[in-house]
Order: sequence, then structure tokens, then C-alpha cells
Amino acid sequence: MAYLTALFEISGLNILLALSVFATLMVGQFSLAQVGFWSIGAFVSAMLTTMYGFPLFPALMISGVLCAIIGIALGYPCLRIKGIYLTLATVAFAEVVRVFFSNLHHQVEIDGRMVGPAGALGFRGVEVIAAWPEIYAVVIVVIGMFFWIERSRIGLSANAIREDETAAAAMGINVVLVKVSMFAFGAAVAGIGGGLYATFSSFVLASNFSFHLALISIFYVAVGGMYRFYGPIVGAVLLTSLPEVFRFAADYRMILYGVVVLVVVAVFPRGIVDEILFRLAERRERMRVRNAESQSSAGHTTVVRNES
Amino acid sequence: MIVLEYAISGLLFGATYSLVAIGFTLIFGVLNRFNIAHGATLMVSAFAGATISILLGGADSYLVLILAFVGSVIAGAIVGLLVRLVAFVPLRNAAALSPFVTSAAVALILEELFLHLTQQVPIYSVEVTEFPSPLENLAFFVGDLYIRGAYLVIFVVALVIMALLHWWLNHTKSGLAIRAVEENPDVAWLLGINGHRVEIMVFAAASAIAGAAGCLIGVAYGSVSPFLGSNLLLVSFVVLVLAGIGSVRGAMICGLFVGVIETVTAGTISSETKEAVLFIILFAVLVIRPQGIFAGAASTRD
Repeated sequence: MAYLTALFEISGLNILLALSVFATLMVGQFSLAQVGFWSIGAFVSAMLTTMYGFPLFPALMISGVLCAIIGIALGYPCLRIKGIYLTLATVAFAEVVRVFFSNLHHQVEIDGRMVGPAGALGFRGVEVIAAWPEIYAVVIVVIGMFFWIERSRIGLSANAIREDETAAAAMGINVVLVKVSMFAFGAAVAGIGGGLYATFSSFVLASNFSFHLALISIFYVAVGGMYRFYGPIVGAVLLTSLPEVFRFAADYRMILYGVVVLVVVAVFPRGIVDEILFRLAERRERMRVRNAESQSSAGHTTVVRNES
Repeated sequence: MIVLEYAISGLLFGATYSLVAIGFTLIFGVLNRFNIAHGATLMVSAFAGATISILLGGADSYLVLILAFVGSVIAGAIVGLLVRLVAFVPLRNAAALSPFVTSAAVALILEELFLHLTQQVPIYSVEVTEFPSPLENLAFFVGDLYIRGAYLVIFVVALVIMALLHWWLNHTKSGLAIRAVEENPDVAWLLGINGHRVEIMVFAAASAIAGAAGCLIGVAYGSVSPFLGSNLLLVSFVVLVLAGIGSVRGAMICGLFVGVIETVTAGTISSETKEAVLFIILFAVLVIRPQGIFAGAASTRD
């Protein structure tokens, strides 16, 4: 039971990571920086709660706001860069953050022992104050925000920008504003998620938030779906439980994991959720066209009959 | 004086970065897609070379070293073609993100596979597998400067490979076809160039070059490990951005430059800061001059 609870909790954390990647993907920006924000959130929340006695939610709020500010600072110069160059810039950001936290030494003495980030050894003994109720409270709030964004002007503008930036700008959409705010929103989600991760797992190691994790976070979105926000949720839950399903394969389960990602992306290039939605929409469209055709041909025969 | 020594060994070793980045940039030029499995290809071929060297007792035989090098190159080409078949062919018309993900998945599979092989095959060791070579103890002195023989050899070999590549791309018909596809795939198709054949050629050549780089790096380090590739992939990102994506000549020069920066920072400050310095340079170049220092026509495509 404890094992299933842990799986449930980790799924929740990965949902937050996947949604933060998705937030930047909504404006067509493919970012690998979310891991960097995740790392910042984890260290800041861990330090605030364990070393300075902050309660959980204020610490998470501070990490989220801090990451949003850094996100704006990073997103603004990055707007000049497009496509694959932007992706590389975000890789650079995540790597710099990783090196920074691997070299951060800042410890205080609490109850006779030293607590705090100790360079490459990481931050041990973070107070564990988050479990599934806290994690899923945040997940539900974030999903609610995505639900609202998708229906709001900013979500519609984001979709327009993703489809065609020039056309969107011509329609009077403030491309810079929408892009930077979605980037900052994604950063804030990652920061809060990282904070939850730190206070859930009690141990934060900067080298865990590497390029490898960035690729895994992209897997969630690519497997789940890149167009609607429930795609990344499905992807995160699926890929988090996958290694457990493959427990029979023992040491080879990560290889199977890679094979599954490969096959799913090859079969569902849009991701599972969006591919299914797309195929359903296509079928509905075909049905509609067929109905319209049969109706018009029926109308045609009546015309003929009238003439005769 | 010591800084000069660092700079020279960085310059010599940087030639391998050039090789990795050239392969990466060639594939990007033709497909307009990133091949994340490029680092894993390099790792697998380095293991192939190490295996040959271990089995044939390559600690003091130059013949075995040459055999290991050839083995690495062939292994690289084979793995590269497999990567293309698995990760790129099924997704020809998909969004840009899909081949990125599939090639990353292939990289993950190969890394995990070799992680297990190193634990189970007796000739490999768990953390780092030895790559025995007669160059291990070779050293030269130029005045007071100490130069590792292995570095000098890899520099020369890398230069020969780059010269061959330069000749192939600029003075042969197939090289012309590759440049045509890089410039504009549709027009190249209209002119009767078989795009698929060019793709196969480029994947084989780029991955063979990665294989050569893998062997050279293995010899220089004296060891290989399953995570060899992912670190080099990140370094080659830096080379790529400095050079301007798609610029082969830029990648050659910037690889050396990155090698110098890396070794000098690692030597004078610390080995941890070297990555940070490289990525700060990457970031700065992207923001100030996104098209790279050696911008070519190919890099304007998005």
C-alpha cells in the first residue's frame, strides 16, 4: 500500500513537470529549461522550509514567484532565438543551474548538526512535509489553471502563435507578452513542482536534474500529447508507472521503457491523447461529408423527379 | 607556461570535439533534425574499439590499435544507419519534436544496454572499461613543454579525417549532392538527386566520423564508459552554436576553440566550472549573435 502511495505521489510530481514543459510548448517553444527551474524550486523550497522554518505553501509560493521572475528574465532575451536555437539556449540554462547548485555551499547549524546544500553531495535531510494530499492539491490547482487558460484569450492567442506566429501578430496579438507569460507560467509550475519534490523526497542532488531528466520530461509530453493539456498528464502517469509494470524484466526494464517510448511516438506522432482526438475528429468529419453528400444526392434525385 | 601547456593539450584534444560536432552538423544540415543518439553512437563504437583492443591485447601493438580504429569506424557507421532506420525513417512527415524524442529514446536504450553489458560481460568493468593502447605512455617535449603522444596522434588523425571530409564535400559529385540537399531539399529533388540515398550516405559518414572520434577519445582517456556519449553531446552543442548550425568548417575550428577553453578553465580554475563557462559562452553567443560566428546559408533555415 505504501508502495502504491509512493507511485501515486511520484506520478503527481511528474504531472507537474510534464505540464510545465507543456506550458512553453503551448506557444510553440520547445524548452529543456524546465529541469533548471525544477532544480531552483527544489533548492529554494528546501532551504526555506528546513533552514529558515517557513511553512510549506508560503515556501512553494516564493519558489514559484522566483522561478517566474527568472523565467521572464530568461524568456525575454530568448525571444530573439527561434526553434532549435532556443532549445539549445534552454539546455545551456539548465546546465548552468546544475553546475551552480553542485557548487553551492550554504549550511547552518540546526539541533547540533549542519543542514543545507553541501556542494556536490547535495542537500540531505530536508524536512519531509509534503505527501500526496499536498501534491495533489497543487496538481488540481495547476490543472484548474490550464483549464482556465485554454478557454481564455491568452490560451487562444497561444494557440494562434503556435500555428503561425506572423499571422497571429497580424491579428493584433501581442506575441512577446503571450510568449513571455507562458514561459514564466511554465517556470513557476516547475518551481513549485521542484519544491514539492524536495519536501517529499528529503534529499536534493543537483546532478539528478541533468540533461537526462530534461529528455525524460520531453518524453512525457511527446508520449501523452502536445496539443491539449491532458496529454502530458496521461503521458506522465503512463511513463511513471511503466517501470513498475516492467518489474518482471528486472534490470532490463529501462531498455523496455525506451522501446515503449520509441514505438508510441512512431505510432502516435502527435502523442496518444491528441492522435486519438485527431483520428476521432477526422472520422467525424468524414461522416459529416458523407452525410452531406448522400443528402445532396437525395436532393438531386428529387429535382430530377420534379422535372420529369 | 603551465597555461600554454593546457592550451596546447586542449587544442589537440579539441580536434575530437570537432569530429563529433561535424557529424552532428552534417546530419542536421541534411535532415534539419537533431540526432540526439549521436553521442550514444559514439559511445557504442568506442566500446567496439575497446573490445577489439582488449581481446587482441592492444597494450603494445600498433597494428591492434589500427584494427580497433577501423572497428570503431565500421561500428559507428552501422549504428548510425540503425539509428536512422529506427528513429528517423518512420517519422519522415511528423512534427520536429518527434524525431528528437525517438532519437533520445534510442540514446537511452543504448546507454542502458551498455550499462548492463558492462556489468555482465567479464571483459568490461562496471564503472569505466579500460581501453589499452600503446600510446598510453608516449610523450614528447618541445623545449620545456610536455605534450602527450596520444593527443598528438589523435590531433593528426582528426585533421586527416577533416581534410578527407572537406575534399569529399567540395570536390566530388556525391559531396555536391549533399550540399545541394542541405541548401534546399525540394530543388535538389527536382534536379534528380535521390534524397534518401544522400540521407543514408550522410548518416553513415557522420556516424563513422563519430565512431572514429569515439575511438580517439577512448584512447586519449585510456577508458570508455556508457555515459561517454551524453557528455560529449552537450559539448558538441556548444561547438555547434559557436560555429553556427550547419557550418562544417566552423565546427572544425570551434571544436579546437572549445577544447582550449575547456582545458584552460579546468586547469586554472576547477573542473566543475569548465561546463558552466562553456554554457555561459553558448548562452551569450545565442543572445548576441544567434546565427553563430561562422554563419552560413544553411543556418538561416529554422
